[in-house]
Amino acid sequence: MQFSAKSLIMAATLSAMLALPASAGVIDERQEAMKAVGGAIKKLAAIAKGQMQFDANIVKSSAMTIKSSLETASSRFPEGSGEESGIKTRANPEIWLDEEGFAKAMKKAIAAAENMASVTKGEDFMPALGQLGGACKNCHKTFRAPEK
Amino acid sequence: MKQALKFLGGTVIITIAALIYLAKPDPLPQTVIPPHQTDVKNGQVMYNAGGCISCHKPEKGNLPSGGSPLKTPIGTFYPPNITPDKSTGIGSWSDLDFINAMQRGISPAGRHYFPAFPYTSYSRMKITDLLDLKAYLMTLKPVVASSRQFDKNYLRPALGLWKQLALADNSSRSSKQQNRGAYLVNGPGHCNECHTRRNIFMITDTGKPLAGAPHIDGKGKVPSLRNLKARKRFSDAKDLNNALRFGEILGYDNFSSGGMGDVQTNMSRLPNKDTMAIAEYLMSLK
Repeated sequence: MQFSAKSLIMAATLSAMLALPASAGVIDERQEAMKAVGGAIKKLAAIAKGQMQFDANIVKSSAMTIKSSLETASSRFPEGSGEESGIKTRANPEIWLDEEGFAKAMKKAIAAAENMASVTKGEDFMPALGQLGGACKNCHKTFRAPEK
Repeated sequence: MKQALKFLGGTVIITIAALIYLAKPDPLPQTVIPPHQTDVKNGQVMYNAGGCISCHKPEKGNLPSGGSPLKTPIGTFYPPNITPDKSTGIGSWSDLDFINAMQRGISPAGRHYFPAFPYTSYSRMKITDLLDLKAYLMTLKPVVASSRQFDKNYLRPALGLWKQLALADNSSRSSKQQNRGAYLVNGPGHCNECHTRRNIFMITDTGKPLAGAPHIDGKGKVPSLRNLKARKRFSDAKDLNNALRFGEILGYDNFSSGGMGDVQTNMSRLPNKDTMAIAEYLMSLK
């Protein structure tokens, strides 16, 4: 009996020790992934602003970066990794209050990135960018907190 | 002793009388309305610059028939219907009713509005722009929709005292020439309501306008709009104009969170020369 109580305490301590770094890990990973999205969007924006020529290969690789990074990010919002983790994050509690809505918004953004990856002609680029940027905004409006 | 009590009682009564007098609604007279040929198109610009739809939006639909909850630190408001329905909207309002609502925060029935409705900013607007805005609202489809009452209406009479302070330095019909960008930002755009810190009386601190503030919902902050270039937020007015017009579409990712998403949507509906004027004014703030 004494042994199992001891092991229970051990297990609790261990998991408590693990919980914090685990949370820090996913928060770091999703923030890195979102930074990669931001970097790729900047490339597409440069094309839209005429600072860079339309190049189907750059468009495709940027869109694929956005898609895979969003997939990575969307799997890194476990419960407990919001502001209650004590780690600096702009993840709003709404992510966990409305998990379905959050998943839907993420899916919409991933679909928009896929659509962008299929763009081969210049004339399809702006509509695809509008859809993609709109999906970013749609999700951030509700699920991301203001700057800290 | 009796004398002293009498004196004290008298002072209290005079103070209460003075406070009640000061708290009374103070509407503008009919004479503030100049002869004016209304311009519906300019009214639509004012509607988008003010972002009326952001707060007066319904649960479903695009007309400003109100009813969506607006959470504030003092409670949840359900902004009213401003479509021209005669019974539940503003269809039966006179021009003066509208001007007094927008600039003095007074309803047609003579009650104080809570400053969740930012008349403190709208009091800086030109009367002719307000007349145009009303003319535009009158072109919208009337929607029958009653709004839910705020649950702390007993606070309304006291708002008169607050207004004495809050509206003190907003001379609405100021003859001071100001540029278009400054006007759009400080008047219809009501940017100060969030981007300027409030003092202990909840009045925006005009000593340090647009220098950023804590976010109203308690999480995070609303960024400063000063020194944008030095702070490397935007390279020039064109850059900021792109952000206002396109937001996340062009990768400006701080134009969606904390309520800025709706603002950006409204800005994208303004003529380019107006968002450019806003951008130039903001970039000039040191």
